[in-house]
Amino acid sequence: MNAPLTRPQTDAETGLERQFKALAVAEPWRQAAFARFAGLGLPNRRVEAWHFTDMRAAMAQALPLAAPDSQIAKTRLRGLAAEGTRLVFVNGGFVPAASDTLPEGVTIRLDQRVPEAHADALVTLNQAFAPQATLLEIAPGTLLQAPLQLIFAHGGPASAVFSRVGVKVGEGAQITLGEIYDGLDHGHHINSLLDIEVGDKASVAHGCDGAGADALCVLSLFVRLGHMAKFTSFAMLDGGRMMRRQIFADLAGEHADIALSGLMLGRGAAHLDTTLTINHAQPHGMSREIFRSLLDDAAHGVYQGKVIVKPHAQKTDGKMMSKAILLHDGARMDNKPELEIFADDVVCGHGATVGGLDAEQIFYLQARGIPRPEAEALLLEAFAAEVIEPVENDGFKRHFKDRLAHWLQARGGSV
Amino acid sequence: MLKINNLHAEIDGKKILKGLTLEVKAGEVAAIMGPNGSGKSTLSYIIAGRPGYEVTEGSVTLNGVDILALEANERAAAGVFLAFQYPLEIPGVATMTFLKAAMNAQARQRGEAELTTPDFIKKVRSAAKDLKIDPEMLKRPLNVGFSGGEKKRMEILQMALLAPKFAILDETDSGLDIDALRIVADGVNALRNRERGFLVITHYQRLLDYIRPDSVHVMARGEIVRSGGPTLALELEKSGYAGYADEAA
Repeated sequence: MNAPLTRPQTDAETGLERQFKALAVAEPWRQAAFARFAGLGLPNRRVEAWHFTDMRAAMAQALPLAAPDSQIAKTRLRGLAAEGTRLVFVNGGFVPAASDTLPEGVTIRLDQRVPEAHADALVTLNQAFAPQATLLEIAPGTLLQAPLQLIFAHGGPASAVFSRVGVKVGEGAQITLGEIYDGLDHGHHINSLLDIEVGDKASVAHGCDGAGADALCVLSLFVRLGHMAKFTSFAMLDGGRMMRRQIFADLAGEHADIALSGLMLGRGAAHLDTTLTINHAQPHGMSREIFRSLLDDAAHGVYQGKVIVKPHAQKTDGKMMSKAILLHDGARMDNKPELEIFADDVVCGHGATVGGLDAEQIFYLQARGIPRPEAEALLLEAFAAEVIEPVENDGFKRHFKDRLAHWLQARGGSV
Repeated sequence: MLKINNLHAEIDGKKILKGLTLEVKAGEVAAIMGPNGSGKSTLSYIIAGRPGYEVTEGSVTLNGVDILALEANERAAAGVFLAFQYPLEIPGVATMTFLKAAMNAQARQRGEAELTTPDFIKKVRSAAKDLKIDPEMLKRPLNVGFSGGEKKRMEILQMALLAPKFAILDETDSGLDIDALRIVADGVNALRNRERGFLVITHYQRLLDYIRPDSVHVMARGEIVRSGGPTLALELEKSGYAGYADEAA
């Protein structure tokens, strides 16, 4: 906790330290996590993984820790789809009374296990402050038709929310998992950690909706895939302030298959960041990362993707692509795709593009009578469709399409 | 119908049209022929409202309406249609979605009721059949992966559905084999009537064997240098544009 700092503490760092001391936590692993954080400090531009997202500058001060809010839990919260099992977390804490009954094969409990040490400062902060993890366990062979939906609701005055949820999917089980953030309009600081273990031959289809008009969000996702395990994920980030989604994926079994995709929608002064690391540790792994960004006004988008192929991970098949459309001169996108390949028999590729709307295409549509805002909306919807259409769950897909249509409408165009 | 008077236009400071005057009456098919670089395509783009051109002098009116003052989509709603020489590919936008968006947008701008979905589908199917367009093609993204002939037929399909008052065909024959040319020409001829005007832009006389013009105009160096009846096209076929080459160079 008293690790020497090589630079002066910021107000936020001082505040976090004061808060942590006041908690007087007993668990040594939480103390150790905070000590790691104290050594790292809030990440700034000099930390490579945070080069484009200066958390040190963005977090001016530490907000008071969120208190439970009984009012929100009483309102019926909707997930990404109408059907399925809703698991409601209010200000970071699981609220069984607001949640649905669990389907057969699924259990939930609080987990005290020690999380592994991690080099990311915001992850260590989560480990230090979140009192425990809520662990969902899916029994081997469980096939869930309706999705499990993690609904993170927020309310009350601006405060800091730390949540940690583990999902352990047993061998051969198949689930659809929703992750949705609600009520981020009050200047909250959100630090959420979702840790998913996909067992051998199990599969998880994941959808995430991170919307917040005024929140500072760091959503960390850890995924570990076993032998022949499959994980697909689509995330829509639509934040008014700062939103960072970081994914740490480990293909720990042979023939593991991961497909990550996302759409970032930025306007105003929003800062949206998707940063991911895919670690191919075993042979015959497959990874796909396909991301799209629409950035208007003075919004800033960041995509950083690192695909690591370990020497042992022969026959890896990896493809990564990030495309952004800038809708205003003030908008900006930073793309940084990277491959680190230590095996010699692999097929890996990556690409990134940043551009504006195609003036010729717009003229063609206008020449057929379609007014410009509508023509733009048609083209933008088509651009986004490449990542939304493959979403498997129909309810999730509809949700994301509606959200995009709503976003485009607010721009002044509708189809 | 369409009146172009003393039209001067430039792009990036380069003068392309230099005092072009032309009138096409309702029901008339006027052909514009001319050597490459004479400004034929520029003329079609200026009438349709493509950005980037600056009209420095002159006017274009359709039934008395100042076309140049309108946005491209407003011109379309007012009845102007351009069949593109190079139709654009629009990935991700299904052809049916596009057709419906275009027809409804025009109806809205004219204060007319939008088509119901069953009526729309019926209309498209019937028009597609006339043009020998496979209905499966209509489910694909607009023009993506279409052959040159398919793209041109798709242009004529759009023209048939949008039923413009005045249509410009820019080198519609380019890239077409003889069978495709016949289908396209039949499609155009089916739309000829006493109210509708056409401006057919072509480099070769061949297209005019299938779409018989009422008048033929030769364009060179940004203006109409000669006008005549259908026989003028045959004359040009024999003599080529050599007589206009000096002017065009």
